[in-house]
Amino acid sequence: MKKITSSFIIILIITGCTQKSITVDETSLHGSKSTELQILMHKFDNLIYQHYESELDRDRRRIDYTKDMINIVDELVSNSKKLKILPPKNLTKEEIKNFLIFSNTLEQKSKELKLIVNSYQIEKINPIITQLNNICVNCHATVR
Amino acid sequence: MQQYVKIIIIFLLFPFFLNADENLTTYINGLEQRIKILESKEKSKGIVNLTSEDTTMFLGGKVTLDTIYVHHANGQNGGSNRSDQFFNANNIPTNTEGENAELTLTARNSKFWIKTRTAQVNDKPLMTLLEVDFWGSNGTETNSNSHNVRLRHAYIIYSGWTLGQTNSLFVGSSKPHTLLTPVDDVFMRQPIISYKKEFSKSSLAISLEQAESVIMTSLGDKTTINDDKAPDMIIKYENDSTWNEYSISLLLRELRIDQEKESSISDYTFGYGLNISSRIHIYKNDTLTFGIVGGKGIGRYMATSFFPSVVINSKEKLQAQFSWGTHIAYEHWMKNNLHLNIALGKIETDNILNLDNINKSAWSGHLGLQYNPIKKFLLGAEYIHGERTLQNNNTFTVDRLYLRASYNF
Repeated sequence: MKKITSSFIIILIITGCTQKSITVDETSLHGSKSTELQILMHKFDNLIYQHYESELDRDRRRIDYTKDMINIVDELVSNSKKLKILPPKNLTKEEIKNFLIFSNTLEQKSKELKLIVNSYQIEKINPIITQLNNICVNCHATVR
Repeated sequence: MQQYVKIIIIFLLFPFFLNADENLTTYINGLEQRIKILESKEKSKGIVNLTSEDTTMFLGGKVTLDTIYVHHANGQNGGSNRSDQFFNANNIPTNTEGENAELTLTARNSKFWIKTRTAQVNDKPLMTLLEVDFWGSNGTETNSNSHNVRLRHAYIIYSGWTLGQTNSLFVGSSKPHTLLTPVDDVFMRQPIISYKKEFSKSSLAISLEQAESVIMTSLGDKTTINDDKAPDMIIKYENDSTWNEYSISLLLRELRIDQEKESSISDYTFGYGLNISSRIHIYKNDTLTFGIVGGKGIGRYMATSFFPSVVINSKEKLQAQFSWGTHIAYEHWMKNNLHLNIALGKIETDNILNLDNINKSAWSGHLGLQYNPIKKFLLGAEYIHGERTLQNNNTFTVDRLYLRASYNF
C-alpha cells in the first residue's frame, strides 16, 4: 500500500514539475493573440479618422496601443519558445526552425518598440509596426 | 619589332582605360550623391529640428473636399452655404419657404497642424500643438470661396498638465465613425487647465474650463451672457483595452446673469451633467459604439447649443433646463479598407417655458460607406436623414447626401 501511495505521489510530483507540452490551448492562445494584435494594428491605422481628436490625443493613443502590442508580442514570443523544448508533431523540423527565426525577429522588434515608446519617438512606431505585420504574414505563409 | 607593336597598341588603348576609370569615378560619385539625398529625405519626413534645445517640430494636416446635396436647403449665411455644409440639429430648417434642394462643394474641412516635442530629463516630453481649419468667417461661392482660417487647438502638455485650448473633458472618448456625427453630439472646444493621472489601462483627469452661459429669455430668444465668475469643472475617467473602451465624464457648473441692462436680473444657479460613451469590438474590427448624455444646464455642451442651458422663468429667476441625448452606431468592415456605418442619434429636452416655437427634440439616422484606396486616403459617402420637432409638435425634416475625399498628410 505504501509503495502504491509513494509511487502515486512521485507521479504527481513528476507530472507537476514537467513542462507543459504544446497543447491545443496554446495554439488557440496564439490565434487569439494574433487576432488581438491585428485589431490593435487596425485601430492604430484608423486613429486619424476619429472625430475631434487632436494630433496629441492620437499620439497618446498611439503610445497606449503600442504598449499593448508590445505585451502581446512578448506573450507570442514567450509562447513560441515552448516549441523549442517540446516541438509539436504536426510541424517539421524545418518549419520549427523557421518559426523560431521569425520569433527571434519578433522579439528584436519588440525591444526596438520599447525603446521608441520610452523615448516618446512616436513617428518611429509606424515603420516598426509595418515590419511586425510583415514578420507575422511571412511566418504564417511559411509555417502554416 | 613585336615589342614596338605592343607599345603602340598599349599607347593607343591607354586613353580608353583612363576613360573607364573616369567613368567609374563619376558613377560612384553619382551614387554617393543619390545616397546622400535619400538619407536626407529619410531624416526629414515631415520633421524639423528646431534651434531651441532638444525640440523637434512636426507638420501635418489634411486636405478634404466635401460634396453635399441637401433637401431642403437652409438658404442662409449670405451665399456661403455654411449651414448646408455642416450637419447638426440647428441646421434642420424650420422655414423651407422658397427652398428646395441645393448642391454645395467645400474644402473647408481641410486642416493644418504644427506640433512640437521637447525632451525632458526623467519625465515625459513637453508637447505643444497648434491646429487650424477653414471654418473661420465665411467666404462666398460667387468668386473665390475665400474662407478664413480658424483656431482649433493651441495647447501645451507638460508633466500631466494640459494648458490651452482643446477639447473639453466632457467630450466622450468614443465617437461613431460616420462622416458626420449624429445629432446628440457632445462637443466643446475651449481653453482649459487640466491635470491627468495615468494608470496602466485607464486615466483620471480633472479640469477647470472656460465658463459661458447660454440663456433663453421668457420670449424664447437665446442669448449669451458674459457674467460668468466660476469656471466649469469636469472630472473624466477613461478606460481602454483592445476589445472595449469607455469614458465617463461628470460636469459641474455655475450659470449666472448679473444685472443685464435689458432684464435687470441678477441671479445664479448650478448645472450638472453626465456623459458616458463606449466602443466595443463585436467581431474582429467590427465595432458597436454607443453613448448617453444628460443633465441640467448642459445646453452648450451637446448638440451645438440646440437647447438652452438655463431659462429665465416666470418668477424672473434662472432655472437650469434638463436635456438628454443618446446614440448607437455599428461599423462593419467588409475588407481591411472598406467599411459600412450605420448610426442613430436622438436628443430631447424638458422645456421650462411654454412657448410654441422652441426646440423640443430631434433625431438623425446615418448610413455610409468608407473606402481607403491607399493608407490615409479616404473616399466616403453618407446619407443622413434628420428630423426636428418643436414644442408645438410641428416636425421638420432634412435629407442630405455627403461625398467626401480626404487625404491626411
